[in-house]
Amino acid sequence: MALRLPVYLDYAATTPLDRRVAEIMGRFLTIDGEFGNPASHNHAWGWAARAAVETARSQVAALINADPKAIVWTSGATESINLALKGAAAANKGRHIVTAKTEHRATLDVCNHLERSGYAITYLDPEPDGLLNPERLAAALRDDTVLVSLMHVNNEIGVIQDVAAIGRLTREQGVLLHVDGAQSLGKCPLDVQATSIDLLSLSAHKIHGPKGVGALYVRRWPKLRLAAQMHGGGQEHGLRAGTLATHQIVGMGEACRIATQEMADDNARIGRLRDRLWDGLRDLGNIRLHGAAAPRAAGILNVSFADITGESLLAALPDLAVSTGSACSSANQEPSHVLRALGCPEPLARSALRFSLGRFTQSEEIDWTIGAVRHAVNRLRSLSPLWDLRQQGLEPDTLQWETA
Amino acid sequence: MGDGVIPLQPLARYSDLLREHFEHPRHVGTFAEDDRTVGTGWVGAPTLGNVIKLQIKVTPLGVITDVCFKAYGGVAAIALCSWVSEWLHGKTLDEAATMDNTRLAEQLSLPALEIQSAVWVERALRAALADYQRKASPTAR
Repeated sequence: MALRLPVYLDYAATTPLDRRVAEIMGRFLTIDGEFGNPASHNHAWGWAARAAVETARSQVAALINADPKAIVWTSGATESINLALKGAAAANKGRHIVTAKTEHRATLDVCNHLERSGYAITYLDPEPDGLLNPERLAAALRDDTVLVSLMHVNNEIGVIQDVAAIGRLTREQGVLLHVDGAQSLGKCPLDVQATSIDLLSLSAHKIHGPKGVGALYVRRWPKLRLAAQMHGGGQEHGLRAGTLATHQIVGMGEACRIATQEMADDNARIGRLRDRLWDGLRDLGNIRLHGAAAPRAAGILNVSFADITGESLLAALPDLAVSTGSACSSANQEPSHVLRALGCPEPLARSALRFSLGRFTQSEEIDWTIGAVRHAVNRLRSLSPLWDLRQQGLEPDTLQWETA
Repeated sequence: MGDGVIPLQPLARYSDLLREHFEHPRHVGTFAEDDRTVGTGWVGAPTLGNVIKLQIKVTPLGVITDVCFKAYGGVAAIALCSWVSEWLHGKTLDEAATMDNTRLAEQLSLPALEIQSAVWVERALRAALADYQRKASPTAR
């Protein structure tokens, strides 16, 4: 396949639709298709739409080994997280919630909101490799802890938390566990029956489904109390009102069906390309790979390049689409809260690039990226007084600098 | 992007001149700091996101005959250093001292929010001039 510029290596931000997904979505929109409201019980249009929604529900459920009745449709992972955290906090006893400093903004912002309404929140520090120590989590639980909320795969560094071990702990203590699965659905095996996950937030657009649709898995038995956050027509058993977006839902179902079948092959291929990228960059010297080498999701590689800034590096790579920090925060120049929570020094955190690979990434793109990044890093280092100091055997971070 | 700013390709907010200096910086290099004809200005800190080293080579008559720089920072800092290095060539010390961050920003149409990088470059220039003058003064022997 011929190389096309620019190269997209930002699959953790979003992915293009798989053509099979786009094709099936198109069948649920126009007068020629099944455009009906799934809540219309009295005619064929409604029945057809309802059937399609339920097929999709089964497809999503199959990917996480859940009962289809446990799937609630939402507008995306952010809404799922809002429903899970606010809904569980409101409907259960306890005023304390445990989460981690490396969570996505969606979780941190909801926790912040709950904090303002009187909840106590503990933000756990991860180990320097990004993984949480279960003992530290156990020590954070209190008598009034209602919920633990943690992500499965970190969106910036790709490390995979051991949610099975965490689930054993929370179940034993009678505390609810919400897992943010936005980056892990379809990327690594996720089995809600083999783990003690009570609530699981999911997103379609990270796995070649459409933006604007997601789901919340809500444990069926023993029954879990959850307060709706969106009120209206009583859809989704009253948990999430609003007309179901049939075409979006069908798209998420198809994306999950494809992932169920192709995840293993995709991951093997993407993992090889990720390793090829890392092998092509590592001998640049004075670079740091963030997060544990294993276990990690196949597609994410987050690397800092000492003695240059991420801003100048991105500017020197106009044909490469990657992120500094996470997409939601790349407008500001603040170093990533995730890398800072790992204890990464500020200058190094500022020079981080997140490469994320996906189903359509080609080896030609990886080879081009290796060459382009090496050229840009070498060029900027040749301009950098910090790099000069390092070549003279001085470690810039240990020198005396002016303070603002 | 809650502030309604449409994000642009990283270099699109800069003038052609500024972009040109970032992509092809002039006078990148190093002079020996102990050379008595050289003035060196070091400013900034890694944790502040900017470190600049600007050096001038000066004749006994006070004319700048050579300039070089190294810069760690954003696009604007690198480009401004390159531009000012070119501008300084052939200037007297008095002429050099007239350059300030406002003029730098004007010359390269620097986006208003990035004025801080022009402040860094001005400070590096003043530090280099002061260093040269300290070395050249009779009491420094």
